[in-house]
Amino acid sequence: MEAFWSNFDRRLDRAWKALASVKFTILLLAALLLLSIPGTLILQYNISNVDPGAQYDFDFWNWGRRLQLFTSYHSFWYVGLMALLSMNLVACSVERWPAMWRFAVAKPVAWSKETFARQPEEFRAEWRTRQSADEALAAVLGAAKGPFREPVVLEQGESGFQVFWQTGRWSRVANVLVHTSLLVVFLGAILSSLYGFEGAANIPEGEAVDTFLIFKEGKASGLLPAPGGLVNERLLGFRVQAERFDVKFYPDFPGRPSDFVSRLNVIERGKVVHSREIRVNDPMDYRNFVFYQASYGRLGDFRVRSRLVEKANRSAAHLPMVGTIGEVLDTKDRAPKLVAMQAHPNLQNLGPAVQFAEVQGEKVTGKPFWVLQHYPQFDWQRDAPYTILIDDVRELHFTGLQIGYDPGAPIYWLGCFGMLLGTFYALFVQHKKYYLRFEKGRVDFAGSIHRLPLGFVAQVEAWKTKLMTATDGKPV
Amino acid sequence: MTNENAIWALNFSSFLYLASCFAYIVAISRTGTKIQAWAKFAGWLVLAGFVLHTAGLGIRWAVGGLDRPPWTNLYESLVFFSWGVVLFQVYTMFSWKLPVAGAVAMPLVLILMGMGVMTPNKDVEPLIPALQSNWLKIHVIFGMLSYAGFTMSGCFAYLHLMRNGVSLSKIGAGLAFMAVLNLGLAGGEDVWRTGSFHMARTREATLASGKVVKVKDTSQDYPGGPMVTRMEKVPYATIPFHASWALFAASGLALWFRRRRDTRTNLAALPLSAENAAKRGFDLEGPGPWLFAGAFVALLALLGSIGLGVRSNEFLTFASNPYLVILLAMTAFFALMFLVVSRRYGGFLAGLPSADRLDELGYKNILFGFPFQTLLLITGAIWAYSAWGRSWGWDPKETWALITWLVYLIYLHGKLLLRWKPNALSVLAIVGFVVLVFAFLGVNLVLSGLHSYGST
Repeated sequence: MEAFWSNFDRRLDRAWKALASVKFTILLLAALLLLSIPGTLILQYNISNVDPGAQYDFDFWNWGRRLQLFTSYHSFWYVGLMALLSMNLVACSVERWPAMWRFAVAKPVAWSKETFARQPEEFRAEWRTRQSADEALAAVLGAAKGPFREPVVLEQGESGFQVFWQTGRWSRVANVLVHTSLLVVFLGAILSSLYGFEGAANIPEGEAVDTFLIFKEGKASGLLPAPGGLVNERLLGFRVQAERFDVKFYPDFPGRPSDFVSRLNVIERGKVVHSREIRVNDPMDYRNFVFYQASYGRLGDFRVRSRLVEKANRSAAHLPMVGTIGEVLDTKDRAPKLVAMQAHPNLQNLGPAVQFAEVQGEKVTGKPFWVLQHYPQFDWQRDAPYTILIDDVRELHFTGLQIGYDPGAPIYWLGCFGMLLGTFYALFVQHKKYYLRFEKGRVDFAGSIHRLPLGFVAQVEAWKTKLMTATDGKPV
Repeated sequence: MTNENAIWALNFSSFLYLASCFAYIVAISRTGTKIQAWAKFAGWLVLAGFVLHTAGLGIRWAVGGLDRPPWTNLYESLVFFSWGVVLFQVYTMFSWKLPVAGAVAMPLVLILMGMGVMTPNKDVEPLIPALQSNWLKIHVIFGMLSYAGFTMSGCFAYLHLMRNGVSLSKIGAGLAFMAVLNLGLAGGEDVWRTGSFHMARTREATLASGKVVKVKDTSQDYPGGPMVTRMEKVPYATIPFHASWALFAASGLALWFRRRRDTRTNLAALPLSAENAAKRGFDLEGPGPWLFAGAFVALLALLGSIGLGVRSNEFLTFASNPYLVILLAMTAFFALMFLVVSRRYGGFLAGLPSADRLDELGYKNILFGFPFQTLLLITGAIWAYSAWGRSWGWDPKETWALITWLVYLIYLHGKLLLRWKPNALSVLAIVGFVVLVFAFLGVNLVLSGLHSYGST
């Protein structure tokens, strides 16, 4: 039993060492890199593609389904890899951070004469000065002091002293911030995947919905299924009405959209409680939900605004007629009534056009006729006591909304911010240390940097010049 | 100032970059102080090109208005990202006094600019709704900064490998295999299925502005199905195509098996100085260099026969195949550089700074590029969050940016914690650059996704 436990300890220790090794990190990163690739080549399950496997042959579909290739980034192997990476990160941190921290806050130790001599030629300098120790110390402290530099006197005697200063030492531990922040990002992502959801709703202009179709749903999202609805249909808890949707185009570039705008009304207990226009890049927040302008489509219907004019009495007030296709237009007590049969946004390049017909009760009587918005004289020639002027032909659309809730967002944005701060500090700032030793008129100076040494040579040279001038030095 | 002025300036700057590339080839074929003189001359050409390049971008920005920066479609991203690389090259030249780094960087810039010149759609089109955001400016600038840094680090890594005594045979073999890969990509699936060399057919299309241009002739078998490009056989091109890749493969093998005997190239062991540099102009032994030269001639013949084929076939233009032509031109350019360098290796190396310095500059560029790549990913996520309702959706563009980030993450951990050897790290930096090119261009041109505005 004793042997087992001692063995067990050793094994545990070995396993821990392996988990906390940087080689393991590299292995995991390389695996993550390679396993990220298939998902970009194989079609993935998404909001508009609910069975991507169907586009491949049966065998591939079958294996792909088992290996979760069509949901690569949520598959057991990818998520497992992420989990291993997080564990490795935590283990590495536990193993390394204390030493790193001690290194960063360690009190500097004075260098001996030999240590100065051992420094590479290009990072050290020596000169002589006639100044006394006190004069030289004051001069050096004055020269070395800076907004981010506080020189420290390491040694002080009658005949000499040693001064030390440094910049950017926190660059050595900035990786702690980076890695902690990365874990915070993971935490936010996990929260989002547990409590958040993503879905969509297509709302025809003028209509309202109280449900939407879910695409990604966290286990604890708290959404209620829609009674009698589709399997992936969920209740919003309020109604959202798309009052209108507009696509605007650039006038000089036909066919190039300039704006997609939806006017949304939120209706609770029959009352509009919130109303807002949303665009791409400008969503609406309501309760937990965020509504994004994602897509749109044609309904195949038009809303026509037109006026009826009696030919015999052109100066009398025109009779307004507004309605959609197939709707019998309200013409007050005038008979026969009219119906818009079909409409075209640009009939044979003559502009918007509407085909009307006369109706008696529910029956179309007489021949249908086209009326052109830009060429009213065309209808004037028709053999009838009245003519129609068109004010506006508007194609009706449905607006495609993406609906989401992402409770982890504040947390992972915080993590991202920390990661950025840490990455910039860790990689842009180098830890530079300077030692200056004075003994009986002889000055030894050396600088060291923890990376990019060649670029540092010129800086050591500049320091040398500055310090020599300050101490009124002469070359040895 | 109109868009025509901008296009003229950008085309002319590409021409200056081409001239600088030839000046660099002359530079590396000289010895001693003449290297520096020619490299400096090439550097002035680069600077002149850069001024025109900047002016071209500025005019396009002025034409499009303040809210429409000149980086919103394929043409503009090619031009803008190459501008970034030239900016870094100019900095390298003036601040680090290393004009010769341009011998690697400028051919790459020329490739991007050449692709731009051949892109049919150069209109200043107004922004579609998805791009109407201030994040467009911020996000793309960070991308430019990080990608330019990584590109320069790839150039320094390549020079470092040469300078650090990696055998010339090894480098030649690497280039030859890369050439086979490029030719394979240029030939595409079609050449391997039918055995003949094909290019994409063109048809005429009307741009949003009303201009008629020739574009790739694509069709769908069924609505929503994949886009199928119709191909046209290029007369005369099949034989030189196959000759070229076969000769490159043969020379690659011949050079690779000579790599250990190629002891004289181990320059790490020899002192380098301008005086004895000329003495070290040497010939590689074995059939490798001859096969390589033959492959280069076959490649030139291929480019010539594509030109002839385009003239004799009404359905073909370069415009629908910029990727192909550029791949071939790039291969030819680097093959020519290798042939020149292999004759004057010693002189070339004498013109370079020390291996440690090249290594450090490559590393420095990665230290610069990596935080900006992180910013690129995060600003992309913020933008996606406000436009599409999710911060990270595993779109191919996002994923490939992450893959690029991971390559450099591995580089940094290997360098900082495992103290990998400089040569291994340089190879990784070059791999990173290749991945980067795919993430920047390949994803938009090959894969489909939400970033599709980058492909037209």
